[in-house]
Amino acid sequence: MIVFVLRRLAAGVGMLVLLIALSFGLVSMIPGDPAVTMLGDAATPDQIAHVHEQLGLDKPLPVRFWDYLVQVLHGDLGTSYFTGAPITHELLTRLPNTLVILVPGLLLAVVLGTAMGTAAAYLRGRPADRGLTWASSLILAVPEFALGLVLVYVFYQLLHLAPAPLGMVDPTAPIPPVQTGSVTLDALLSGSWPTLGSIFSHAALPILTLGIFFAAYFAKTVRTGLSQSLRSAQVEFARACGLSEFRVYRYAMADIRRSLLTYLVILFGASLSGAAILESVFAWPGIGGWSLDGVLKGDIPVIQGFVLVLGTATLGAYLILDIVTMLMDPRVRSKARTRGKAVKPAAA
Amino acid sequence: MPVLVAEDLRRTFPGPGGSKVCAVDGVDLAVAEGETLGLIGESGSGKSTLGRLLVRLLDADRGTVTLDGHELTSLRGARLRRSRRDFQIVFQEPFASLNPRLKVGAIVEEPLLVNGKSGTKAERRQRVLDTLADVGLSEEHYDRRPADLSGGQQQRVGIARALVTGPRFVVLDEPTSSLDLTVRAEVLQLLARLQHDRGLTFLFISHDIHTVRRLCSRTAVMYLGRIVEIGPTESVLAHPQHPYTKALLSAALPVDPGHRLPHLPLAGDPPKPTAHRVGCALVGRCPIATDECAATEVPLRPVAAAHEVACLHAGQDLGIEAKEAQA
Repeated sequence: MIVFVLRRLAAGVGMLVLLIALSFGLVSMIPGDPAVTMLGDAATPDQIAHVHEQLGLDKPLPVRFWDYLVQVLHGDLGTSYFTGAPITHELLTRLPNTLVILVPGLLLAVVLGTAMGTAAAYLRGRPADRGLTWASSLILAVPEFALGLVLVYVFYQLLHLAPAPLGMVDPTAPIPPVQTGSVTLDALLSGSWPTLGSIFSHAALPILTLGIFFAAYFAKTVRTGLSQSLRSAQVEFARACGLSEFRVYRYAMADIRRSLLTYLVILFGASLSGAAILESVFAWPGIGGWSLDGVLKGDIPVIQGFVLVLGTATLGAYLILDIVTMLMDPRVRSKARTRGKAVKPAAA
Repeated sequence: MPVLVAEDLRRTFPGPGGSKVCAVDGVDLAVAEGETLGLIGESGSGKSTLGRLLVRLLDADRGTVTLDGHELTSLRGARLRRSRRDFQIVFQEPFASLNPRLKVGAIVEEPLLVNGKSGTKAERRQRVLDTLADVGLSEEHYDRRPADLSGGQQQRVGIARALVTGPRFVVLDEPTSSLDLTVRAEVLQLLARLQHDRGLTFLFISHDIHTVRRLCSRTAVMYLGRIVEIGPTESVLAHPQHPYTKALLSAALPVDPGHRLPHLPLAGDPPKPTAHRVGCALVGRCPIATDECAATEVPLRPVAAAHEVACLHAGQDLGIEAKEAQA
């Protein structure tokens, strides 16, 4: 089993190097000269040469790649062409903000979607099932930012339950002592409850938006998978033996939880890169809006940093997925064990 | 004294376009203690639905099932689940019917846990091991998973799981039809031995007449949701009275190719079992049908000792007997 994890880890490292190479290649692949982008069209050849030297663009490609690799592995992702802010710092302060809405949002989606899908599967063909299916199709048909706007209208404009969709903390909330640079982490570390409370109330609507939007995906997956496995011979036998419906449900869910988890990881990667629009609806200081800005301006270090973080997070998520799936399935577990045993004598 | 009695069982399913499909249409059945009743009929005749109604995997629209005089049809919830130890079912696909994530020991033990009063862990383990031994598996299979076993072994696990609680009545829903021929013979032998040793009562659903001939003391023939002929296996298979039974038997491959019955063609396909019919379901396909067959209720009527047929013209010459004589 450890062999299995190590193998996956090694594959992950390999993919990471590829990712760094890709992110490095972006400089050459993106049209236009970075120096021109920075200086504007009126730049003289001398100025351009000077910036090229500053950025190290005058060196040969392999040297530049090596420099970049060393830099990245030291955690230095360069500075923005336009603001001069270090990318690593920007990412460290912004990524937690995005995760604060993304992770709970996806978890909410799983819970909500599973509940909806289960209800639909058990009530298959009845009016409630048709209603749920119709509702999730409707949610899927509406872009998520539109759903966000509707929620803002209902909970902020009409009901006054949520704060204005402007940022993640009230201006009046105490500012926690800066330790990491990320407001969320700082507030958590210093135990600043009013600030955390403010963050939570601001995060509620984006979380709800993500939760409802992605719940529709999960609901469809669960309904399809569950209604099939509820009709399987295995479930019929379990019922015939008098097992409780809870246990029967658990067995039926075991058939689909793997695809559900895979789906969750895919959606995690997709929503990380798609966070921009939702973040701009709520003026949320996450990585989404920041990276979108970088893309539009051609701020290559920003794009590179975003690509790296996105890729690393997705690779990490897939690694965790593989390990969790393996731990969940006794068949894979015991197979991994016997395979480990079988390998040893051959090696000796 | 019959162990299981079904009266006037009926079950419809929603069909295409809001229509209703009547899978089981007023079946009366009594299974005597220690007997194996065979249930044959083509696909779609309602055999499996009937089996599932008897063990309450499906709810009947109408009619009752009693086991040892206790009404099963009205049981609900936890009482139904607890009573399931007395009636069991073995399925056609051995692998699909077992939880692939559990070990054999746990699979067979599960039904014992339903009631709570199943003794200590050690006692349960012993009981599981005894049952596994009864079905021809050994202790080494206890910690295996279904995927590690052969099809025959998987079906033995299914049988062990059905028998571990000591049921009074077991439905065997084509338990051997997905197995290899040699394995099939072994499993059939096993079932015959288990029945003999434990005095079990079986309903054996099959579309294989030879299997039924070997295992079943009585045989019922089902067509479009109704039992059209029932009687001692010897009598039903050797002297079929219902035109449908004759057609079914003539379509089967004989053990001895020299004694093949001349093929009796039934005109057309079985009609869609959409609505409750008054007369005989075979009207329109039967060579000896008369107007009366379509107009009146055709109940099962005795034609020989314990041999009943639902046909107004039972035993009438269909024209194939003559051909047989020529051959």
